[in-house]
Amino acid sequence: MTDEPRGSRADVEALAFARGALTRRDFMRRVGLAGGSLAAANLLAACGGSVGGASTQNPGSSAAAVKYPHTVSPDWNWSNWTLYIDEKNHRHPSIDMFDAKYKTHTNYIEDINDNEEFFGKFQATLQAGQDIGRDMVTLTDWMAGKWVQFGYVEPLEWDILPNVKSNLLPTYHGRSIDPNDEFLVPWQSGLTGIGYNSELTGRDLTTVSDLWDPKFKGKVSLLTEMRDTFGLVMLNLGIDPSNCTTADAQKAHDAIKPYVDNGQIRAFYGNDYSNHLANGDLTAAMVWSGDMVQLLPDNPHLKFVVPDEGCMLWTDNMMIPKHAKNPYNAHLWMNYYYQPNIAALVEDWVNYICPVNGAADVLKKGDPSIGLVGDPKVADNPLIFPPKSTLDKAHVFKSLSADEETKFNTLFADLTGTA
Amino acid sequence: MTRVTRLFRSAPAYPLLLPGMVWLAIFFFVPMYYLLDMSLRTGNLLDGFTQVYRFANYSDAIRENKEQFIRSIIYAASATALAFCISYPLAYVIAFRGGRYKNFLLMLVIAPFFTNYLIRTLAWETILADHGIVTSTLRHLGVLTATDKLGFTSGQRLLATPLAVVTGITYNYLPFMTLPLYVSLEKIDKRLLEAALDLYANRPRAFMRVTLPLSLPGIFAGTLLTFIPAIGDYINAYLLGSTQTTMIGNVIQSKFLTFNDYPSAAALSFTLMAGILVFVIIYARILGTEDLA
Repeated sequence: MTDEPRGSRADVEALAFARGALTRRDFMRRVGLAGGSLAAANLLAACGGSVGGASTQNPGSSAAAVKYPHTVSPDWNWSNWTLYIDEKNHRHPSIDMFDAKYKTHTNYIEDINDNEEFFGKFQATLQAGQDIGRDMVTLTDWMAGKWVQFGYVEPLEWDILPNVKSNLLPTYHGRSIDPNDEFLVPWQSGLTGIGYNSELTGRDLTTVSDLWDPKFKGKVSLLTEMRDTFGLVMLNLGIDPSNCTTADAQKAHDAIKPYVDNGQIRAFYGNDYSNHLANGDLTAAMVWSGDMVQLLPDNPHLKFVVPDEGCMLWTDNMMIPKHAKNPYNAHLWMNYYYQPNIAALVEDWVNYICPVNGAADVLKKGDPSIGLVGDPKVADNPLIFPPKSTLDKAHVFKSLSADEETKFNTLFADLTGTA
Repeated sequence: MTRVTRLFRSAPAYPLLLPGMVWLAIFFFVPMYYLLDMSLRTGNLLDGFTQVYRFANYSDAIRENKEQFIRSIIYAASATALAFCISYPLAYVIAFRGGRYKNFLLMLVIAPFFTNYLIRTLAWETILADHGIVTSTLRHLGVLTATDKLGFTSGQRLLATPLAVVTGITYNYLPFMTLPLYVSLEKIDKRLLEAALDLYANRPRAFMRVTLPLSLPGIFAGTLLTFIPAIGDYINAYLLGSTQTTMIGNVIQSKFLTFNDYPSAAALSFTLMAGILVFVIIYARILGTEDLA
């Protein structure tokens, strides 16, 4: 799930990149698109012999109080997506302050470009029960859920996470991918809803059903992410995506299929819909809020709407890979980030949805002690700090079992023409 | 020449082959082995893939994706034919009439390669946009009405139609067609043409009897260099196409990355390769490979 700027692509991207506005994954993802090597790497990894049966861990089983040695290591490693943390003069102020405070060195590695790719790179090592050289990684819900399911994640020691305990927004508690909040701490989120060109529609759209309006034939796109597309359509059908079955996926499939066949749906896009939406090739589309933060200021006729029936919420989660060497540092970071002023500092730059309660208030006023200038425009942006009414309507897609995942994907591939 | 000297003369060739052979061994034969091995396994990522020599992986893969296989062949063949029709006159003019601009013209042919493949394809998204100048012009001229009827496009637009995908592939692989054609045309001894014109032929006949046959190696190389990558291409179908234009490359990508169904993906890849190999052998038999440029 990604973000992407507007306008004629190459130069806008260059510009956006230059001023640091271009958000992380889009460009890399596209570049990754051309990389057939990735598939080969996956294959080799899979063939590497150690693809044995995983010990499937029941998420509820290790709830007993976990305790790690409370010693700060002189350095630790964190893998994150590119352009996904505050930046100033090629430094990351939040990390610098953390390092100074705890007398450590954070080795911040921006090497996640794609959930699948990252997984492919480390799966064999994790499966072999070895340290992957990372003390914290940041992965999207469904992939994070997969790691939890495969037993690739160290449990959290909640006693040393008081800030997370008090400031994590209620929406994020007990998500189906980690029902007992044992493994995951949210880093940033985004909403999946509907974006449309109000000039072309001539009316307000309020529900997913509006996408099927024959007037928009060939000018509608859905998302390539199965969970986002199926999730929104399930909500439209009155099905809760956080608790759905294969039969429900079949219903969602059947609801979409006729519109694929009759050409109502132009295509399934990743972040590429941005450009099409901005230049009028698309009238309406399923979109990610992060993209719309970028698109709306330059395209006043574009609108983002949370469908009446609800929207999807996806989150990138901080988590500690199994056998990590410095879990205590990772805990310290999580707790540090959940201070509203630090979260505000990061948010002012990243512009996704912040899971930390109180960050918006700090951001509005600013905090001179950490060099944060008040930025009411960001603090009041409902796409970055959504009101409670929006979050109440946000749903997280459930964690699928391997068997379900195959079935869901097969149904979805039938729609995208890659079955 | 005695046998010994002959052996001696050919001996130095082997060390020279070594770097290429090592490269091939590491980056082609070894991965090929793993691919073949994987294509006969069953299982999933969680439980691992076990080797059961399940040849049905192949029949399943082909049966389930017949549509995309056929589409890939049609698109790649169309793009190759289109690229040939554009490239042959182009290469001909550069080779025979280029004069002192030859190198400059050749550079223009290669110039698009200075830009990343992905960026070039994304640029086509903008060029073919629904409200762009190309689409509007074609729409007003009624061309799109005709192509809509033929099924090349739909809904009075170019993007997300088969035509856009074939156009994108043609554009992206055009230099692979042009350069071999140029090389073979450039090599032609002009005196042969003069002789033909003096002795028996008018210009079209001289072309058919002399130029065309002598450029066959270029045609052979050019069509293969275009057709083979085109049939496995998935970027164009992904960016310029729709759900109705997916090619076999898109399926393989999705099997690998979305489904983590490595055996099916490997079986599909192998089938594609085997198909191409058979095609190349037949094609080489027909067109002759004796004197390849």
